Amino acid sequence: MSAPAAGDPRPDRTVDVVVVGHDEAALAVVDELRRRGAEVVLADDRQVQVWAVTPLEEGDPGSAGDRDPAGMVVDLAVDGLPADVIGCRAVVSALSEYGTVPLVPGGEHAGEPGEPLDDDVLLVGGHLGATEDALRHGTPREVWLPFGRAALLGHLLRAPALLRVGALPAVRLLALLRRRGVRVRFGTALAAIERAGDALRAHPRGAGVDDPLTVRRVIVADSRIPPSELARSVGARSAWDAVLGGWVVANDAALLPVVAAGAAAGVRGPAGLAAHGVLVADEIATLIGLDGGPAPGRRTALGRAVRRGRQLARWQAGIAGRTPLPDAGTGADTVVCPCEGVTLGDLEAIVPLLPDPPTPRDVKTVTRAGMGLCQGRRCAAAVTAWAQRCGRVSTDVLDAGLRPRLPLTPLVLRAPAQPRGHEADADRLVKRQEP
Amino acid sequence: MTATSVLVIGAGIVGCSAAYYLAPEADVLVVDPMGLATQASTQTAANLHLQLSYTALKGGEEEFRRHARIIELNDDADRRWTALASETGGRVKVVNFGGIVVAESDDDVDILRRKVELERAAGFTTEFVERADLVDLVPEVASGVRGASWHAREGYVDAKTACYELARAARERGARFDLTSAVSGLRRSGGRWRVDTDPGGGVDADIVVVAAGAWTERVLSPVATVPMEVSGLTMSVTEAGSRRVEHLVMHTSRPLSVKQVSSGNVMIGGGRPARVVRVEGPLGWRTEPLRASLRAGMDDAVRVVPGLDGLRVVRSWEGLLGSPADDIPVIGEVPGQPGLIVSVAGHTGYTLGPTCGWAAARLALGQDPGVDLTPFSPGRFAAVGVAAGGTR
Repeated sequence: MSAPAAGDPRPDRTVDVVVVGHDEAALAVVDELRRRGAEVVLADDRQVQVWAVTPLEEGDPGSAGDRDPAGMVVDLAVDGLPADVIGCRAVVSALSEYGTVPLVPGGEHAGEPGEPLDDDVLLVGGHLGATEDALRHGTPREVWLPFGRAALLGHLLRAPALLRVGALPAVRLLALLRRRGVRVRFGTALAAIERAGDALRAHPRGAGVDDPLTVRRVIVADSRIPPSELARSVGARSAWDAVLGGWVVANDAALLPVVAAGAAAGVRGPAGLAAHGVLVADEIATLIGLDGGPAPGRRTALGRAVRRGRQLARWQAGIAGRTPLPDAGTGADTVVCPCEGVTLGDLEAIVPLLPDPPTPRDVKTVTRAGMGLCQGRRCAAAVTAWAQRCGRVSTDVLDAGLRPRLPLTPLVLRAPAQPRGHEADADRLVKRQEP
Repeated sequence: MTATSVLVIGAGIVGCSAAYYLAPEADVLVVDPMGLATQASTQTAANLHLQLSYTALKGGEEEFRRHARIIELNDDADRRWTALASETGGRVKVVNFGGIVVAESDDDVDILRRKVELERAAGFTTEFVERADLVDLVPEVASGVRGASWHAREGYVDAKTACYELARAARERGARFDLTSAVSGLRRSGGRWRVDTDPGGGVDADIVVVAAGAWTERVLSPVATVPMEVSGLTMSVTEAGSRRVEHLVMHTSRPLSVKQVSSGNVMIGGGRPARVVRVEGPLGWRTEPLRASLRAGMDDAVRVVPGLDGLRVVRSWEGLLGSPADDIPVIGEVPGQPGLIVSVAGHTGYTLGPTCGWAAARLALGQDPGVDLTPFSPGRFAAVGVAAGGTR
């Protein structure tokens, strides 16, 4: 495998399906498709960046014309460098739900997901997976949770019997935080953040106001990074589902065959993820003409597990208090776009400049909200909600004008003199799944 | 039915500046189906191009002289952007830090020398810069650059806010904006222009200014022919970083423009293609990314400006460029259609935006635009068109 020459549109190789992700849903899709004879590539999103999914080009690139029905091309990169270009007939997005993105307004990105943490960290949000991950890598100074202690207990009691087991990790994590001596502030959200020399000063909103915390890094684990980037990037609609508390992808027959699996489709829990993976694999197998789907009895069981996975997602959304919208009555210093440091007050201030009613796109263009490192993944819903309050009704992010764009993850510019010795790494990281 | 003395079709840079210049003297309504500056006027790199690009040299020297006719418009645009920045108290942000077109091969050096000769003969203030002088003038370009052409007034405009600021100023001067109506018909009726809008009951206007960019041909089609070519272009932008590029950097033979804007983000453009797909709806087209364009643009940028090494590209997008079929701006009244004014610049359309708006406004008011518009008359397409057939 070699990095293709600049501008070369041809894939290095062609397989049936590329699966992006690493969780139970991703693995289940791969296993099921392999069992049925498909050639599948699993791109582990923790190490391989997917930076483009584009239709296979037919004829002269750039000319107006129909798409090649043969499929699409997936560009993979390692450490920002082109690594592998794979042609395929379908893509499965099984991306995980959160990203540990350090929060630095208007400045440089302070670290990479998965990097070991030092102890001088504030963790904001209530996402279980992200908290677990942070505790594996270090011990945060404080954890701010948006829900109150009573609300958490209430949710635990109200959890459906089937889901009680899903509540255990939350209880276990709280106990672990206490054992490690981490201060947990309940009912506390992030109001504003500012630079303080080399450090960051985070100001809380809610309980314990006027008690800011100065740390080196702030990690946002509030699940506002939608897991559905891959599907959105090729035009699939993706909308915040308040009931589900997650981003939900709606596939459209007119779109490229990009299918969301697992968390990307609003399913949680190992059993639900795996079951959803098998059902998605079956959908794709039908699409590309493979025989031998799951027997009717097994399909029913899978469907049941997926339903439980969706319930779990809804319940988790409840305890995390995940809402993408600035609450009514919040102050002017409420951060709407953390990357660019845009506050609710900034939005109110630009009203005279905007057409009436404004679109989210107007807000983005004028304030830079959504133009930072996360490219609107964290603020799109809040910007949309604000514009909606000003009169526009669409809650569909795509319609609202904050269009997802390539690359899916930031891509490093590299001068050509630098060695491009990543092919071997890429070979190792992009596992080939031969039938 | 709405009535106005001047109807401006299109809320991009030409339409917004036309409204800005018209509003003190006339009743103005601007219509656009998509909103304020939703297409080329915010998708653009918004470079101020005051020397001619490599595309002007593609068709030989005769072709080059034809392109060189825009010099008077360029000079006017340079003055007009500066004036807009000052009239809005700096809210229209214009940066003139100088622009350079680089040559990486001996062939390109020869082309650039000839380009500078031709430009200077036509009145442009472009200069050729030898390799030895580049180190002082533009230290950020790579050592592989063998020569360059320089224009001290080039730079960029903050296109994110320019149209919003012009529209706000125009509103303060009394202009009205309808940003949800598409024009579905255009005809002469009772000595005025009757413009059908969807939704809405239509507009009656004494004068119609068509400032519809890529959609000019479609809007005019009932009454006149201005053939347009539509292409999709690719842009990328990096995260914000420390200062690495202090000038606008372009290339002699490759589609490339690189600059670092005041927020610290580096914009990479230059005209690499994107796919254009025809769709239903008020726009009629959709653009899709071409992987090869993204990658080639990034590779060229970091090769020519090695200081970009390590910066991360966070976003790419595509925009639609509508250019008159002969690549020369169209500014003027359509012959035989009194009060129907067209203003579209095409290739360096953003640079020329305020000039196109100004000229259209002056023509609408029956005043002298102060620029010789003879080479840019829409009448030049009459021979191939249907100029007589449209009036119903």
